[in-house]
Amino acid sequence: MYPIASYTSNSTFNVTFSSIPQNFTHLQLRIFCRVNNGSSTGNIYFNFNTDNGTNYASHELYGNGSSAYSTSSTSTAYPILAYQVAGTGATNNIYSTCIVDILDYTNTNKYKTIRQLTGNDQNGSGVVTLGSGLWQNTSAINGITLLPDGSAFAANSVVSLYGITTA
Amino acid sequence: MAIIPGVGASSMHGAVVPIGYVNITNNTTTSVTFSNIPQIYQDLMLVNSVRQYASTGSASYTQINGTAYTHHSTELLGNGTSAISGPQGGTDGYLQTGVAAPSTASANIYGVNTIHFLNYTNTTTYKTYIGKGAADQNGSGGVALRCGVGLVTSAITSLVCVTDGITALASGSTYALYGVRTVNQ
Repeated sequence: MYPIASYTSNSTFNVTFSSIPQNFTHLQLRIFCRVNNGSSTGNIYFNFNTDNGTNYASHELYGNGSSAYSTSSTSTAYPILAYQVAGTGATNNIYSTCIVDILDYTNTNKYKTIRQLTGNDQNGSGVVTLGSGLWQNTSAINGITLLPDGSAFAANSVVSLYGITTA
Repeated sequence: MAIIPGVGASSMHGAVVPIGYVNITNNTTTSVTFSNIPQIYQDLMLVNSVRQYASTGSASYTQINGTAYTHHSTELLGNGTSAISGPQGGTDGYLQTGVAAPSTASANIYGVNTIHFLNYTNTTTYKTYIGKGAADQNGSGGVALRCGVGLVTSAITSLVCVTDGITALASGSTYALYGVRTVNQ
C-alpha cells in the first residue's frame, strides 16, 4: 500500500482526487472526518471521473446500537460512500472513521464496485456500517470526488488516498 | 513478554509499517502493551488473533495510554442466527475493540480482529476506532463490526490489549501493531 495524496485543513475543505495514477491494482480511502452540515450526522457521497449521471447504486448494512438494518439506493447520481458520519452538530471533537476499498479500478472490462466500513460513535449513540457502491461504467477510475453533506468536510478532517499493489 | 520491534519507516517502501509484534507463548499473560508508539504515522492498525485461557467471555478490549476515561462503542454482530446491534461503554478506558475465542472453545480456535485508529497523534480530537472481527467456532461464534470513541484527546502513545476480566490469554494469541504512513511521512 502506497500513499497517493491526502487532504486536511484547519478550516472546511472539499476533496477531489484527479489524475489518479494507473499503476496500482486497488485503491483505498482512509477518512477521519465530520461533515460541515450543522447536524449530528450526515452522509458522504461520491462520484468517479466527474460522472454525475444516475449510474450508481449502493447498499448499506448497519447497526445503531439497538437493531440491525439494511438500506439501498439504485440508479442514483449520489451513491453513499460513508453512511451517517459525524456532523458539525455533534459534540465537539467527535469524528468518524471510514475505510473504503476500490478494487480493480483500472480494469476496463468490469463495472467498479467499492466496499466501505464506517464507524460513528458519539458516546451514547453510534452507527457502524458495512456498505457497497456500484458505478455502472467500465472506464478506468482516474478521478474521485467526495460530496459530503453540508458541501464540505469540517476542519481537522483527514482524507487520504492509497494505492495497493499486487505481486 | 518481549515486543519484537519493527523496522523504521525510512527503510520501508509501503505505507503499512510494522511497529511491534507479540506472540503469547504461555497461559499466564493477562495483557499486551505496545508502549512508546512512534508519533510519525497517520494511522495505527492493530491486528490480533486472540483466545482466552481462563475466561468464557468472548470480547477483547484496548485501553489507550493506560488511563481511565469515558468510552462508548457500537457493535453490529451476526451470530449465525440473526444480525443484532448493541452498545458497550464505561469509564475505565477499556474500549471493546474485538472478539476473542473463549476458553471453552475447541482447541486451536482463535478470534481475529483488525482495528484502525485514525489520526492517532491529533491532540484536539477524541480518539475513535473502527474494527472488524470474527470468531467462528464451527457451529457457533460470529462476525462483528464495531466502532467506538474514547473521550481522550491525548495522542495515542501506548495501547494495552486485554480480554474479559483481564484474565490470562491462551498461548498462541498474537498481537501486531502497524503504522500507516500518509504522503510526506
